[in-house]
Amino acid sequence: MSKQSSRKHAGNLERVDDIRWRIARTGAMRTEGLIFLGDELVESVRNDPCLDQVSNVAQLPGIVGPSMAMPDIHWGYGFPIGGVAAFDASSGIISPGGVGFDINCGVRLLRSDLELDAVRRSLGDLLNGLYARIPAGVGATRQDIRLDPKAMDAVLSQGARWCIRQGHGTERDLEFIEDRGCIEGARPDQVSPRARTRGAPQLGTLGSGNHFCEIGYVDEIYDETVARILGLELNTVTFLIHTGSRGLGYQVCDEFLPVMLEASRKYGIDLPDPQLCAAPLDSEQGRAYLGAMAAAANYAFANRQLITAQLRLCVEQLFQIGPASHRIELVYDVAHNIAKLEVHQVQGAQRRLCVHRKGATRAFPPGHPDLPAAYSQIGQPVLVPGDMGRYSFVLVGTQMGYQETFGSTCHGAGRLLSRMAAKKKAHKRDITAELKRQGIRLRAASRATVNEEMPEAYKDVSSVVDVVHRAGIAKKVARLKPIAVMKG
Amino acid sequence: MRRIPQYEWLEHTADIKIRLHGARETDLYESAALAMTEIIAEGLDGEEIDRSFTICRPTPEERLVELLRELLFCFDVHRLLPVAVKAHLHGDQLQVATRCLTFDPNHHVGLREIKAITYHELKVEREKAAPKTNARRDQDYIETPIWFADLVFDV
Repeated sequence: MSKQSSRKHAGNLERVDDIRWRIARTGAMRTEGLIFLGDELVESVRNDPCLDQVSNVAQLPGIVGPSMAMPDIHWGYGFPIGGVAAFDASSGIISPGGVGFDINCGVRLLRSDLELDAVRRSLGDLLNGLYARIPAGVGATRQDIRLDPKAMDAVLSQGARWCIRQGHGTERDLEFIEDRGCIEGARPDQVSPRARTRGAPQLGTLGSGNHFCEIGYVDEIYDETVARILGLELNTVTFLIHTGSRGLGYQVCDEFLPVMLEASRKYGIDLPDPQLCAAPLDSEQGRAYLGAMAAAANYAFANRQLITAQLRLCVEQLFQIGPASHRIELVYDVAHNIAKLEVHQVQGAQRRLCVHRKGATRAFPPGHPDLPAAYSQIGQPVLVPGDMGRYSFVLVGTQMGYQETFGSTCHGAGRLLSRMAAKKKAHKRDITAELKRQGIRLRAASRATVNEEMPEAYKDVSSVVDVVHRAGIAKKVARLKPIAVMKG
Repeated sequence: MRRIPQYEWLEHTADIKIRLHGARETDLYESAALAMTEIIAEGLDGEEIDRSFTICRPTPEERLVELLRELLFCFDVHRLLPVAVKAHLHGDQLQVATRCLTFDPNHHVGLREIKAITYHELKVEREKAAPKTNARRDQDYIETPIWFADLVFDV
C-alpha cells in the first residue's frame, strides 16, 4: 500500500498567469489541476510529490471543476495538504483522504475590549492561567468533564450547541461559527466505541504539535471598513485557538480507511493511490462516513467552544472583570479539514457538490446565505495562522473565489523544515528566550515541541496570504502579532 | 525482553518518518513499538504493567500498522507505553508481549502526540544487504540486518 512518489507531474506544471499554474489533463485524469503559487514557492513545490497528488485527485470519479491546491500546498496522505476538490453529489465520491485524520481541525479567532498594555503587564499570569485551565500536550485530558454515552451522543449530534446548553458560552457564539457549530446529518451511531473512548476525556483539550492558543493584537489593517465590522482595530487584543477533533477524529478516520478501501473495490473506483480510497456519496459507505465525519466535526466545534469558555474564565479571574468589560467575542471559527455538501453554480447551473477542503478554508463571498447577518456585506472571515514568532492573518471570502475555487482559500504557513532539521537548527539555542526578547512569551509542554515548532520551521505565512489576495480568491483584512503562545 | 530499538529518523517535512532494521521480521515489530514510545515521551518510570496483543493480518505492513494502532489506542486510553517488547510470529498471527510504564503528564516529559499510524510510504522489505544506517546497536544484536521497514507517523 505504499505510495509511489514518481514526481511524474512535476515537469508538467504550466504557468497560466503570475500566480496560477496548471497541470494539463493526461492519462486517467478526468480534469486538469489548478495550483495557486507565487514564484518564490514554485521551486519548492516542483520537487515535491504533492503535484502528483493533485493529479491523482483529478482521477477520482464525479470530480467537478479542476483538482485545486492552495499556495500552502504540501505532501499529505492521499490528497495534498492545501487541496480542494468538489465532487457531484449524485455521481461523485467522498474520501477520508480528502479530509485528513484530524477531522475539523480548525481555527477560532476571538477579539476583546482588553487593553493591550494591561494584558502585557499581566502576560505571564495570563499565560500561566491559560496553561492551568486548558489541558495541553501529550496525554492531556479534562478531569472536570466526563462524557457518559448520552452526553457524548449529544456532543456528536449538537456540536458547539451542546456547550451553550451546558453554560459554556452564549447564543451569540454560535452565530459566528461555521455552520453555527453543528454540521447537519451527524450520525453518532457511526462513531465506534473506540473513538468514543479516546474522545471522552479529551473534550476541551488543546493537543500537541502545531496546535496552540495564542494571545495577540491587531498590528496592521488592510481594510478598515471590513476590520471594523469584525470588531478589529489597531491594538485590539485577540485570542487565536487552533485545534481539532483530538483522538476521536483520528480514530474515525483510521477506522473508515479499510471500509473505503473495500468500497473502492466494490464500486470499481480506480485508485492511483490507495490513500485516496473512497466511496460513492450515494452509497451506504459514503453516507456512513459523511455521518461519522459530521459527528467528529461537531466534537471539534465543541472542543474549541470549551477552550473558549476556559479562556474567558481565566481572564475574568485574573482581571476581576465580567463579560461586559472584557467583551471576548468570537470573530469567527473555521474548519480547515472537512468535506461539505454545498450548492454551487457550475457553468450556469446550480449543482449540489461535496467540496473536500484538506488544509484549506471555506471562504464564502458577501451575500452568501450561510454567513452571519453581521457579515453579509463583507464575506466570510478566513483565519490563516502563521508561526509563533511572526504573524497571522484575517481575510474575507470574495465572489471571485466563490466562482473559481468553490469558495475556498489557504489555511496556514506550512512547514519548511522537517522536525529533524528544526531540531538541528535549534541546537544550543534557547528558542523560548529568543522569542521573549522579541516580546513573545511562550509556554510549552516540552522543549522538543518548542524546537520543532520554532518560527524558522515554517514558511513566512505572508507569502501564502499574498498569493490568495493577489489571485482575488480572498481579501486581506488585518494582521495579528502574537505576544504569548501556549503550545501543547 | 529489553533491547534498544533499531531505527533512525528519516527526513519528512510535515510528520515523522522512521526506518526500522532487524535480523528478523519480529525485530521490526519490537523496534517499532519501542520507537513509538521514544517519539511520544521520555523519562518514564514507575511500576511495570504487562499487556499482550494479538494481531492477525496477512502482510507484514498490515501487521506493523495494526500493532502500532493498538499500542496508540492503549496509550490514548490507559497512558501505557511499552518499554520492553517480545514478538512472535505464527503464520499470519503476531503475538506481542509488552511491559509498559504509565505516562504521567505531571511527572514525565511528553514529547509529541501521534495522531495516527499511516500507510503513507510504508514498506516492509527483506534485503540481502542492509541500507546504510546510523541506527543504534545493542551488544547482542546481529550486525547485518536484513529486514527493514519505512513508516510515517502523523503528528
